[in-house]
Amino acid sequence: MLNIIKSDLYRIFRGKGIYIAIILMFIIIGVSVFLMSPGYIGTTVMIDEDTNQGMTPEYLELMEKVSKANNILDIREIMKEHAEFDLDKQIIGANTNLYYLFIVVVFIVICVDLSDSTAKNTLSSAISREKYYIAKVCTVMIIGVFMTLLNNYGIYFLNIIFNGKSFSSDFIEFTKYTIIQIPIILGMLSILIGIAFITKKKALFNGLTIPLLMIIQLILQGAITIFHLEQTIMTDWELQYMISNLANNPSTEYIIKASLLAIFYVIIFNLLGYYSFKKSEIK
Amino acid sequence: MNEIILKTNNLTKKYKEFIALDNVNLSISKGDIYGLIGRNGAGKTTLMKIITTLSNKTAGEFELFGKKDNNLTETKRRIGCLIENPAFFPNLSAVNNLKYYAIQKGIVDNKQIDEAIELVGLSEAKNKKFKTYSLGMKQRLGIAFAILDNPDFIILDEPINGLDPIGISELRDLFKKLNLEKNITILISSHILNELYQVSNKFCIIEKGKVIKEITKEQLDEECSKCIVIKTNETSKVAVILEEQLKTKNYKIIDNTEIRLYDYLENSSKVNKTLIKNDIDIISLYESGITLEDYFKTIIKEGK
Repeated sequence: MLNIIKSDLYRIFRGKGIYIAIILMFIIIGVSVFLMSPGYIGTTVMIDEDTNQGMTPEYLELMEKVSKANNILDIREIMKEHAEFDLDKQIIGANTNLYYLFIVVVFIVICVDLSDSTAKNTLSSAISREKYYIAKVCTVMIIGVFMTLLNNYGIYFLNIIFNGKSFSSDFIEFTKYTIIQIPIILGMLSILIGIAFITKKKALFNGLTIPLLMIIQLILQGAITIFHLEQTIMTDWELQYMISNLANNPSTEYIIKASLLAIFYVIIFNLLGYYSFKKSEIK
Repeated sequence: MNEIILKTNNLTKKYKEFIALDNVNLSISKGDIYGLIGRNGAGKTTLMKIITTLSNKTAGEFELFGKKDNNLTETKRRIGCLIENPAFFPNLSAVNNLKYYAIQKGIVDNKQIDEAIELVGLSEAKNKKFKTYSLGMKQRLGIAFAILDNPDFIILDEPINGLDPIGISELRDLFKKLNLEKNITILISSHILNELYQVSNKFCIIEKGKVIKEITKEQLDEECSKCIVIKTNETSKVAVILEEQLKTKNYKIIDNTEIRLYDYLENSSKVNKTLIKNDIDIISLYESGITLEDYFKTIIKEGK
């Protein structure tokens, strides 16, 4: 099994895909740090004063000034003159962006192998389906966690370099927020792994996973409206909100609940993926 | 007695109502080059996919190297496969593709990769990306992958598809060389009996998922070769006449009523006259023998 992980790492780092994903990640980090504002891909988290996201009235006032500025350099001036906050924590609160980069990782590690039929070479003479599945999960999770750490510490150090200490949080505290985000990152990866093993086709995987976060938000919002449910279902447990909440002084109870939800995702989506893979014929 | 490498027992595969394999029983011994012949859609690939665990069987069982099909994880390491089309990563070179699989199989010596590439004649193109390969080159790389880990048993699904005549001849020699020098058992499928005839020592004809006939090369030769068939109730007398008067030992007594003579094909009347002169009661005497292609067609028709 270790050999399968090693061979996948060999293949992935010989291709361009992973480097493009990492470059994209650093572009997003660079823009966010330079603009002094977290950048979201796709849907955005609505700023809600009732939620515990560290969005104070002063911060909102500052954002209003920023929105009236003419160019990026003016924005930076306004921010530096009027504010002092932990920008790095806010940017890692937008780590749902990583979801789109994780699509690339799962695509390279699993979809290419299953869709291009190269998996049959491995499965016919090297390893059982169980070990193959576990090896793929481990590979995706290793790369996913590696990218998360690269992303977070990239943000931390670039932020210090560009914006200085007054916009930076304590290193230990920042590391704590990084660690408590990891379970839900693994949950997110497991959703993608499960879908990859169920669909087995590159186009179908992309077609499902790219709009998935937006679809989940729309479904949740629709359910809340139709069934008059608490808005906290969305603001506490939707993936994008969860990642944001976990970077903004969450309570211990919230961390535990979020971690349990992450474990639930890991178990359920991997069971679904494995069951579908075990029953299927390898093309 | 030779070690049995593969043995299937009523192996069956159904896709809903369609029966792809119907109670297949076959046995491959160590050292065999076993030719699996059948038309397109006969069930050759399905059988190979089940043996290599790429597809799940519906019923029956099989044994590989004496191990039951539910306990094959370690045994699989002793086989090399090329099933259906050769599939590799298009953006990696041949050598990097094989390196990827070498890491998976725990092969640390890169010499094995070079050896496999050299054996299939891809040394000059080994650094080219797989996506630039012709179909024939892809097939060769597929065979290089199959022999990469010095397996004891190779399963090759239509490996000569897309190859030019010289390429086919080279691969034929390679299969024989692997079989003779490395004692590798080979299961090879094709829909062309003539091609398999030149490498295999045992054949299995499969049609609509059923094994119609399992036959050795010697038996096939007998059934196909040109000969004079002498039907008589005095086979032992005829044998003596053939040896003493016609000076040939190139004949075979099939049963109490039939002798096949493989000489005098251009002069059967002389045989006839000699036998009559010796008062042999001949029921019939005629020339026989069919091409491999005709034999295959006949067997398929009989199977229906």
